[in-house]
Amino acid sequence: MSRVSVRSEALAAVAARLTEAAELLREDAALLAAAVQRCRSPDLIRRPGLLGSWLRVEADGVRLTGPTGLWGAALGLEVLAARLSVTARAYVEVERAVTAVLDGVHRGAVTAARAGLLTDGPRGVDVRPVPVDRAVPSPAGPADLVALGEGLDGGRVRVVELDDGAGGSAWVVAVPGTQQWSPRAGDNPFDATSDVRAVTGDATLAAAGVVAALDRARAASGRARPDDPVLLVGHSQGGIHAAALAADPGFTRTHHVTHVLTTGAPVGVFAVPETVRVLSVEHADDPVPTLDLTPNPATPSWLTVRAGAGPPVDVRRHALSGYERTVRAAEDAPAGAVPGLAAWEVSAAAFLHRPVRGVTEVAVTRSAGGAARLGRVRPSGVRAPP
Amino acid sequence: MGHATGEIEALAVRVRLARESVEARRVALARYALVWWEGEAADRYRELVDERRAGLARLADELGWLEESVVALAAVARAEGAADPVREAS
Repeated sequence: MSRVSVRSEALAAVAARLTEAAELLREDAALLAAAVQRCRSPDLIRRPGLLGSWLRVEADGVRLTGPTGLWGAALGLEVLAARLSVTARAYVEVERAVTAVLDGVHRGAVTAARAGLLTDGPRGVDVRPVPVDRAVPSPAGPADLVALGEGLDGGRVRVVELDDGAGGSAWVVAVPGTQQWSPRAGDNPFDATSDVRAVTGDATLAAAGVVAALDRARAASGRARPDDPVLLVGHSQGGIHAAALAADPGFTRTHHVTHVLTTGAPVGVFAVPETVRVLSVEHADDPVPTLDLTPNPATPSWLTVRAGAGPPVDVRRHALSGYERTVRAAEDAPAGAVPGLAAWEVSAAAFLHRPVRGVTEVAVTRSAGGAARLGRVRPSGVRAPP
Repeated sequence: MGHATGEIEALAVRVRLARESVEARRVALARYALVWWEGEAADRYRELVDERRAGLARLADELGWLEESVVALAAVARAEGAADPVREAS
């Protein structure tokens, strides 16, 4: 199955706006026709100096309200709207199929769990502080934020506290990608189990570990305030967790997530609220961002930068280092070359060019016992139509 | 001001509002190009959007010319009314 190329809801929304524009043009036509009609007074017709000019104006006025004028333009927009509506209905069918596929994957994971595969099982999560082994400079742009994901082996999550320039702190949480590929869950929760579970909407111990890492860093700082802005950045599976947390009301109720930055991550299924500015970077030939079969929403708050060309078949294009280079190239491109990127950077001012107050790292592991009660965060980006 | 002159001036205002409305729709249409949508259907849709935008631009031009004609007509009507206040007031 190929990836859905557009969302039906976006097409339907534009169709509705086109219909509205057509109605407004038709109102203009009616008002103009009435104004022309009111001018046809006997007094005007009796005045030879005006009559000739008036007849020309009247003819033009009538023509411009009719099929070659405002009515015609309105009809043209309505035809366009109808065309989009038909297309949107077709895409609804495709989206239903995608939803069915993802549900199938989830059912498959549930079945596999009976054999002890692809499940967190009755385990909890441990978060253990580890030494920070690298200097973290002040992030100057999205590429530096992406680079915070380097070196997060062993299930490590990195939390950077920045001076937000307004007396408070801003928090950047760097979430790692997949590190273990066995279908049987091991100690490191950033594994295939979390991949499958997270993309199909289950809460995971890996995400719980990310939350614990942030809460631990905030508590240790002593400066944290509830309204401190939080930016979640993640590559691959890390991007999935970032988007899933930003879409989880349980998390956002207590953490003021303002930004999400993902690279090479299938995140289109997550209904991230429009109060969060999302930047998603995808290599066109990297297959991983297409795994959810769903495009990212085309909304003002969600900027997707797709780089390169060709079908999504080259797994080498999935490497974090490659994404870091891509984002850096986008930053260095002439102004306007990557539409929306500069605006995203402006919106992320609390996280860029700000002094680093502290860096903490924790290693997240599945604990031996202590069943964690994890819920299900249903991805709702692709919904069945009502 | 006489009835005829007043109605012609009202028509000039209505034509101007219609032109502004058409121009606003033309500008808005540029935002509906759905540049992120790919494929043959998307390309055809964008062609149609371009056609509609060109049509609205032509219509706005024509409404602009009509507006000029109506304004000129109103000026003549005003001048005639001033020269013949009895008929203008009738």
